[in-house]
Amino acid sequence: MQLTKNTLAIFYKLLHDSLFMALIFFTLSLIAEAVLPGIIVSHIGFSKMVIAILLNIFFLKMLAKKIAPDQIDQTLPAKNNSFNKILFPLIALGALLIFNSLLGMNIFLNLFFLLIGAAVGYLSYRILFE
Amino acid sequence: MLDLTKEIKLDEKNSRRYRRLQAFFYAFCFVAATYVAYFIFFPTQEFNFSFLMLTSNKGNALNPRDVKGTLITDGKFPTGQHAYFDASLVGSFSKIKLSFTPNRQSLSPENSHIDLRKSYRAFLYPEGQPIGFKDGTLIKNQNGSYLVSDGKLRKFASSTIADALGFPKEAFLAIDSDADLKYNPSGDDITDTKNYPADSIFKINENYYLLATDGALEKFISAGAFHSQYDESLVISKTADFLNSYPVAKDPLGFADGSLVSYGSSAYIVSKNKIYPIGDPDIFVNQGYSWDDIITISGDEFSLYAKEKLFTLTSIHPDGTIFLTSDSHRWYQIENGQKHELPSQAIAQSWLKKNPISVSAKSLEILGSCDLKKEFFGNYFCLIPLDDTKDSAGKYYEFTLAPKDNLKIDNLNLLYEKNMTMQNLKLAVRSMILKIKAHYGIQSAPQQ
Repeated sequence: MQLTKNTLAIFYKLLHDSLFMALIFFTLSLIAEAVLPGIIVSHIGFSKMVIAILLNIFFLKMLAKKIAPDQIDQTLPAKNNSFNKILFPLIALGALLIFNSLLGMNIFLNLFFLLIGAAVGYLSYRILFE
Repeated sequence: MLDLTKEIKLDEKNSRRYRRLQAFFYAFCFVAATYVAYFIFFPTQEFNFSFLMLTSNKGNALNPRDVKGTLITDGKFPTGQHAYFDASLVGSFSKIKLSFTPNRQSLSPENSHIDLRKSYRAFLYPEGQPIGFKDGTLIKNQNGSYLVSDGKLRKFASSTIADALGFPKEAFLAIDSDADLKYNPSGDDITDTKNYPADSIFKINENYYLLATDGALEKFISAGAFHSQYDESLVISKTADFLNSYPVAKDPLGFADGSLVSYGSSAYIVSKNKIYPIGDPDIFVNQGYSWDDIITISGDEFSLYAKEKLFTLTSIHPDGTIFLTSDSHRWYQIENGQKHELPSQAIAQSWLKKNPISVSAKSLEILGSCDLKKEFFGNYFCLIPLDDTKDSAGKYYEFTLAPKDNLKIDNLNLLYEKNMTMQNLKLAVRSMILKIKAHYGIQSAPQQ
């Protein structure tokens, strides 16, 4: 029983590592694809990457329920702080990708769409989460 | 070491176990990333044709066919009969691996011979009779002056007749040798000063007309259409009264066959009464065309043509396309599934109003060959190095199979590979930089 509990914890930790690597690969692929369309999708489809990431998250959620309470260090701060740290770079990256995808358009129209997109995103967030 | 889940506690023993597994996992990721990078920098391209599941063959990839051009669907390759298959692709590859999976009842394909040619698809057409001067061309030599009319060489009975009819003196193309004249059969001499011979060209109120063989005046739809076929110097200027002398044909004349036009944001190739939209700029460049040759057309001009299927890398250059061999300096024109030589520069110039497509005469020769050998799992394969095809323009690879025995093949596979060399890596990086620049409009797309 003890072995299973530790094995589950190790799997949980490894799944975090694999999610971390998958997200890095996915982000780099998005950037590469934005700069040079076809460079990644000609080898690996984005749908496969997304399915792999979703499966990873699904298994993480399943394992998280099975982690024994005595293995969780309650003294450490909540994880949400790390999310706040990467939120701004993620938004900036998303904005750059959208700007890049609309590069053929008039630059002011492009910026206008970007602002509209940001406003819609912000309002959706306010409506859904506040 | 990186720990993303510090809140999950492990005892000493399991912590060490996790560290080992984590190190193994990150090493695996590094290898996987290297593998992906390898495929990005040294990409392969695969073509497959299954004779067992014909519906799985996308767009007749490889197009296996017999000498008559009939698609082979039963996988049977009889001995003594050549079979052909092909592939069109962009990119500089080092070698091709050809794999055959024979049917269980088939004789062994071992030592069957395969030859490779690489060129433009149309340039590999069989060669037909040479073509002479274009209709409407005015020629002079020491024996007199001529007009090419309805394909025939018609001599002006005297220079005064040409003058009386108003043919511009400067429009006569001077040729030194009579050899160029033998490609147009001789017609009747031009003796009449009242009636114009067919293929005379007129300019009336800024509109251009060609006198057709049926005696009607055919109007060019635009000045652009006229200049895609003839030089301005050929025209005989007339007043509007002249239109009463001949009936005017209902249908206007369009652009020269093989002309490149643009309408809206798309480029097209014109041939006969058809117009072929070009898939994308890469296809335009890789099919040998030049951006300088594009003529912008109006909606009226565009509506003259029936729109055809997309012109892609696998498409054959349409009738009217002119090739110039860069090594032997010979011209060829595509007509009705054959390539016809334009035997001299003077003849070629009568047809050419844009840049010809440059091609190597060497590309008509066998550039590589191999004999099938046995591989694992009952497969047979052979490799053809592509070093000799590097200088050959055109992205069309044509393979000729000479079966040693009566064969029945289940599957045919082509794998284009790049050798992992520093030179190929540099080429790949350079190509990527050029593509990025083209993507951001810094310069035009690279020709690969």
